[in-house]
Amino acid sequence: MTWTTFFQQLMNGVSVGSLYALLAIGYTLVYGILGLINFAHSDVFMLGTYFAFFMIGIFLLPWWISVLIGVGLCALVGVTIERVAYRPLRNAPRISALITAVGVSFFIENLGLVTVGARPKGFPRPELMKNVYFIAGARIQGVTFWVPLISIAVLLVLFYLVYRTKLGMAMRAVSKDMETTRLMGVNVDRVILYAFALGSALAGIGGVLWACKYPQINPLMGIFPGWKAFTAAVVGGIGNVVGAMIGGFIIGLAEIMIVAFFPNLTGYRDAFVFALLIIFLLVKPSGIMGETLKEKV
Amino acid sequence: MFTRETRELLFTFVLFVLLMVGVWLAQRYLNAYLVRIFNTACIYVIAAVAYNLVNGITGQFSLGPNGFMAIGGYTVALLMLPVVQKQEVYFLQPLIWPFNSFSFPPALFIFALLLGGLLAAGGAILIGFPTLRLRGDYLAIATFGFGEIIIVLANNLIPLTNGALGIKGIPEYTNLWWTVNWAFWTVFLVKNLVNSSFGRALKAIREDEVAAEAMGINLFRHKLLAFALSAFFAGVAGGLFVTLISTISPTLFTFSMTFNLLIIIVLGGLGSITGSTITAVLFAFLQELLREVEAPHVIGSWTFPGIPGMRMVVFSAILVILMIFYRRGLFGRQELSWQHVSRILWWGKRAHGGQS
Amino acid sequence: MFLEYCGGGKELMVDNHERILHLENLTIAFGGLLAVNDFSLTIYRGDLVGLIGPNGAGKTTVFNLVSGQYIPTRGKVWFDGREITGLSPDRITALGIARTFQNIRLFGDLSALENVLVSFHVRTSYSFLSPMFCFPRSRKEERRIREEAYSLLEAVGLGNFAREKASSLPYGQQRRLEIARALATHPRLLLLDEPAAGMNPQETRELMEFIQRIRRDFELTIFLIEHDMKVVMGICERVAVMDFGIKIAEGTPSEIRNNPRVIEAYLGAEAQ
Repeated sequence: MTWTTFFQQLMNGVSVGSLYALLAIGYTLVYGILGLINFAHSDVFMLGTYFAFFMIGIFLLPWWISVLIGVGLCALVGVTIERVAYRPLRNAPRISALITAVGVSFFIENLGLVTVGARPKGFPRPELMKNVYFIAGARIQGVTFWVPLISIAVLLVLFYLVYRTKLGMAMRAVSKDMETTRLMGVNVDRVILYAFALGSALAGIGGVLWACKYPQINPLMGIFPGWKAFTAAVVGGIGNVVGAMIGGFIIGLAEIMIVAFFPNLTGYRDAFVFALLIIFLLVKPSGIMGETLKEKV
Repeated sequence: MFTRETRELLFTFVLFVLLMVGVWLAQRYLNAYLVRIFNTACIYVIAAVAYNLVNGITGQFSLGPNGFMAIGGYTVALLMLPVVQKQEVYFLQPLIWPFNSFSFPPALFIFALLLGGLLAAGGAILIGFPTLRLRGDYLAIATFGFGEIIIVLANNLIPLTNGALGIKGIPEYTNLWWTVNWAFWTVFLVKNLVNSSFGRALKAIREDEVAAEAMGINLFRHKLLAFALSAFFAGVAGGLFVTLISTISPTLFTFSMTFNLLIIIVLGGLGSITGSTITAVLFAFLQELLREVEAPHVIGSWTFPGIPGMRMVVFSAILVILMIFYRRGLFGRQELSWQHVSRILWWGKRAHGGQS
Repeated sequence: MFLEYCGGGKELMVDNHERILHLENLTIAFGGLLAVNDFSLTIYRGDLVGLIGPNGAGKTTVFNLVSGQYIPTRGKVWFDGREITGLSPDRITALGIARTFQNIRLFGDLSALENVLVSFHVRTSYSFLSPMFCFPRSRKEERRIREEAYSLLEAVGLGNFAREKASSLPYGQQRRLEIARALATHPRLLLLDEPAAGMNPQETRELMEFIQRIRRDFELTIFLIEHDMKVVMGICERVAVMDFGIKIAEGTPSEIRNNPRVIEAYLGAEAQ
């Protein structure tokens, strides 16, 4: 492998990784607070692309505005899911909430299949993404360049929100100890809604950027990225926002590099992530940044 | 006259004989369409009861049955497909040794099923080993991944699975005798296990892992046992299914299969073996009914084309609504026992005769 | 009253003076916080030892270290002459230490009888295949443990509640059931975490008698955490006091009562 192709693949890995990171943060926020795997998160990711797609295609809005509206709608969907499906089950056994999450996810996917069909649609990309850049002699596509850049910018805004604002502090407090935080006078329900809104908006952004990179969209497109992003959250230490980001980059880079070095194993790309998950669970189940979770006895 | 256990065994035996007579009659007089639904129903019973052992009894959230069914299905397909046919089917890439050189005679079908089940159980141990030691929901995410990875492997291991084309022309060994027998024995065995000291240990784990461990129960061993046993029966169900419809491909055992089973066990009551049995049969029929929804309809000037997938929309909506408003399902954690049945049947008599 | 109770314990103490539980410099850190710091304690066979201290002093953490829920950062736990540090809770229970929980942790959806039966499971000798195929052996065993569990429920005064769901029992009965469940594991050392919590004076008095009785009937060594000073001073022969993860005193109830450090710890806690 030459240096330039290596560099191209590296950029590619970073860009896929940054998308996993965006998606993983939504999982980790919700898991940290509610202890729930939000299976529907990957579908919000998918919905983001369709919202933008229809805004552009039907309402003929400019790309950026369409995307912004799409992301807003994603936040709304996330909040609705929490309000309608998860909140009634907050004190129910864990398994009930998980089953509901799976149900919501499957509902969105199948509703998608029924309404827009299984056939992939071409996602319109803005000119910016189609440009070609030459960096250090390597030919880098606009997407490969802009996707990680935008993702990282979004991640920085998120870190600011989580670690520097009152809302972020409330979120972290709720995830540490919901009851005590409630006693401190924090409106826990509202904090949870914000967490869903924030996570879902990130998923929406991730979805649109993903569609810029792989411009074929379909109602089931969220399943694998979603599962890998959750794996990334586990690898990084579930519940930890920085960990989710690190995990996302690790998964993205590992996946792309393995395919780059062993091209005939391309078909098994998804299986590697699975192997990585199993290895992590065996060796370091608490993840890179996670603390060992000990149930209070 | 008899102890309660003996009497219940006797009842069970009578039920078995009745079932066998029923099968004999059905084979003779029932039309092929209904027989097929009953076959599917029995396969659902096997897989759902097994699934409930993990999700309902032990309280561990697995999303893996489709993967285990796929393992069982491919195993049985590879073992039972005649060698001549194998050469025809695997025209892209030849089947690898040793499967290309032998196949089981029909008499060994039962062993093919058992092997399929055992391999599925092996897969479960592989997944369970890293995940069941940990508290939390790692099992859910690992089994979900596993189900998807099995499909990836089925698509890519072409010399073994024939890739996306799948395997066609698998001999149709499965008939009502097989499915009803397996369903009966699965329910019988799993229910016995659940009612034993092991079953109590599994329920204790569901109720409170910390307390169960403090009472001396080895969490990992018990969870793994339940998970592997469940996978065994799922594997058998997969094997029966492919020899029923005589074909297997990567799209046969997708997540939808797991989802169907999830609806069955939630509807029947998480933790109720008899509940799952009944709802599995109901589900098989409900599914046929909902096929109607997917057929093309003309209403006024609107023509609705066939909407494949509408069923799944309805099912997932049902699941969410059930979880929010009617979490306990039809049976909750109750089991339908012979005591209940006799109470219903001899209700009048008991009112006079007192304790039986 | 106190003397009367002492009399019950005396013959046991004369019996032997071997160590049954020995905690050696136990230390555990959560993050930067030392929840238990350099805690040492020896309990002799037949003792009834109390552990007291203000809220958050680390008492339950000591129990969790003994029963294996937590693994100490430093230090050792010896039980009956062997080191059990780092063993899993189920192994430790099998060796003969049983416990109850501060916030009752029964198997809520199971009946009282089943709750007790769960504890018998470890010592059932058949494999899982035996009940599946209705082998007579497992049925005989099942009948045996059912009888044993019944008589245990009778012994703790819950005979009439055997078929009730554990979660539907009144609070006091739940505490008793938890003790019965622990006894069913055939322990030699019983750890009771605040057995009198939430009880009225009448129930508390009954509980004290109950603890004395099971101690005699089951030849137990008992180590208990309690907030109710009447209980601790009434039935314990020795008392250890913790504050901020450290053992600040140990002695007979009367020694403890007059210990200035203990008084300070409690007054200090109240002053907060």
